[in-house]
Amino acid sequence: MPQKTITLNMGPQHPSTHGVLRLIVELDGEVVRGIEPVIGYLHRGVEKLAEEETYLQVIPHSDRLDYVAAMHNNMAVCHAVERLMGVEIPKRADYTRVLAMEIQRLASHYLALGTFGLDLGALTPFFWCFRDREYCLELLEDLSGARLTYSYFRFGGVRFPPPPNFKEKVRRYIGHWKEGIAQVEEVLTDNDIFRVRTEGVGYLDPKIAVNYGCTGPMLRGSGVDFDLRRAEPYSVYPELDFAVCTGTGKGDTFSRYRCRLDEMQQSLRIIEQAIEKLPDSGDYINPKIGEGAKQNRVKPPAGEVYARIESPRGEIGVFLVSKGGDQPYRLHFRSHSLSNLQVIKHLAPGQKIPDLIATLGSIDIVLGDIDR
Amino acid sequence: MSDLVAAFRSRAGGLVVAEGKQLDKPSLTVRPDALGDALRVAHEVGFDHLACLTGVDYLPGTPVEIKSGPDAGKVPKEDGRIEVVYNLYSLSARQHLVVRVKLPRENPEVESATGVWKGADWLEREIIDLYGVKFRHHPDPRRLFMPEDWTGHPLRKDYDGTKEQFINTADGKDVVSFTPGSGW
Repeated sequence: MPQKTITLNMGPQHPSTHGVLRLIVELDGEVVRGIEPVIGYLHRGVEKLAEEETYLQVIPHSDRLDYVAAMHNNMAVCHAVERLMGVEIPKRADYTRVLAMEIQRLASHYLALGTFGLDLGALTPFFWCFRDREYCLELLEDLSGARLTYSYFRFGGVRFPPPPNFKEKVRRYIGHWKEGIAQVEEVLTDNDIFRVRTEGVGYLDPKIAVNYGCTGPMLRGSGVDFDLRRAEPYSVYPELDFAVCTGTGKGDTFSRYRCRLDEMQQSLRIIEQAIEKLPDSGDYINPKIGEGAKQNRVKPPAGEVYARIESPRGEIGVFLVSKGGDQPYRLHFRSHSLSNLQVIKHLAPGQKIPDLIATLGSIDIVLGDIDR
Repeated sequence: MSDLVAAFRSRAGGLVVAEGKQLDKPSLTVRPDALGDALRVAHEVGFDHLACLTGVDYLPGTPVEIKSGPDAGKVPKEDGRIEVVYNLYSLSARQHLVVRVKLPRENPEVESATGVWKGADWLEREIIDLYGVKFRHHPDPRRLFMPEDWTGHPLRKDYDGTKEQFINTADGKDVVSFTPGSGW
C-alpha cells in the first residue's frame, strides 16, 4: 500500500514555535517526512530603514531584532562602527558593557530553558526561570531604564554609568541566581522524563552544523568548542577568566540544554570578576565622540567592515558599508537564528511530532532576528 | 599554522581579478563566472564557515565617497554594480577571507554556493528576494520574506517604496496588488 502523507500546518500563531514561524509539516502518521519553515511574518525592513537613518537611530532598531538579548544587538552595531572609526573604549564603559551583556546572557538563557521545559510539558521550571529572569531585568533597568529593548550602548561607551548601589545589588543577586540554577537542575537535569525526551533526540553532526553555518550553543552542543569571546575577543573578555562550554558534546537536545546551563554558570563567574574590576569612576563614554546629540553626528570613515560578537544564541554580525556620511550606505545584520533554523530541514525528517517540538525548542530561535 | 589565503591564491589565483582589504581582512574579487570554482577551492583549502553572505547595491550616479568642501564635486560616481560579498572563516585556523563578485544590475546572475555550504540556501534566498540576483542551481529559488507575488526588490536603491502594494484575500488566498481593495 502506498504511504499517504498529510500536510499539517503549524501556523504562524502557535504556542510552541517560539514566535511567528510557520512550519508546513508532511506527516506519515505521527512521523515527520518533510518540513518546510516559512518565515517573513516579522519582516520590518530594518536594513532598508538603516540606510535612511543616522547611526544613532539604528541602535533602537537593533534592539528589536533579537529582542530577548537586546544588549548584544546594540554591541554588534557599536562594535562595527567603533572598528571602522578605530576608537578606544574607556575601561569603565567596557566593564559596564560586559556586565550588561553577561546579565543579558543569563536572562536570555533563563528564557530559553524555561520555554524549552514548557514545550516538553514542564510548567514549574518555566515560572522559576522567569522569576530569576526578573532579577536580571531589574538590574538592566537600573542600568538603562528599560526592561527589554534598552538602546543602552553608544558609540564609544554606554548611555549612563552604573547607579551607586549597583555593585552590592549584583553581589546579592548572584546568590539568588545560584540557588535558582540549582533548583532548575534538580527539576530538569535530574528528571528521568526530561532525560528520556531529550537524550538522543535531534542529533546534529558537527560537520553538518558547521556546513549549515550554525553558531552558539547549536554548534557547541555538537562538540565544536568555538566561542567568539575566545576566538575573536572583543571588549574586555581577554582579561576575564571563563570556560567555553560544549554541553555533553553529543549533539542532541540534551547537550544543547546542558551547554546553555553551563554557560549560565560561566556568566556568573564573569559577572563576579567584572564586578570586582569595574572602576567606580572614570569616563563611561569616549570623550572624543561625546554624548547626547554628538552621537547623532557620528561619521565613520569610508570603508567596509564585518564585525561579529557572541550573543546567547550564536554569532550576531554587522556588515557595514560606510561612505563617510552620517548614514550607513549598507547595514546588514548577520542573523544567528536564520542559519540555526535551516538545520531543522535536516533534523526533522524521521522524528515524531513531540521530538520535533523538542528539537525546535533546543535550537532557540528568535523570529525578530530571522526576519529583521 | 598554514596560511590558508596563500593556499587559496596558489590554487585559484587565476580567478581573482582584484585584491583589496575589508578593514584588516584580505578581500579578493573574482569573475562572476568563476565564483563557483573559487568557493569550492576556498572550502577545500579550509574555510569551512560561511560567516556572512550579503549583497550591496551601488546605485549609478551616487558618489563613491561622501566628501564635503571643495572636493565634493570631484568624487567619482558609482558604476551601478551589485556586489555579492562572501565572508569566509576557518574555525580551526581562525583565518578570514572575503570573496566578492561584481554583477551588472540589469541581469545579475551567479552560481549558487549551496553545493559547498548548505547554509547558503536561505542566505541566497534573501538576496534573491531583496536584490533580484539569480543564483544558478539553487534548489529552491523562491522569495524568503516578501510574499510570492510581490513586485520589485526592496533593498535595491532604486526600489520605489512610495508605490504601496496591498495584500488582499480573495477566495481564501492572499493576492498582492497595487489596488487597496475593500479592506477588512
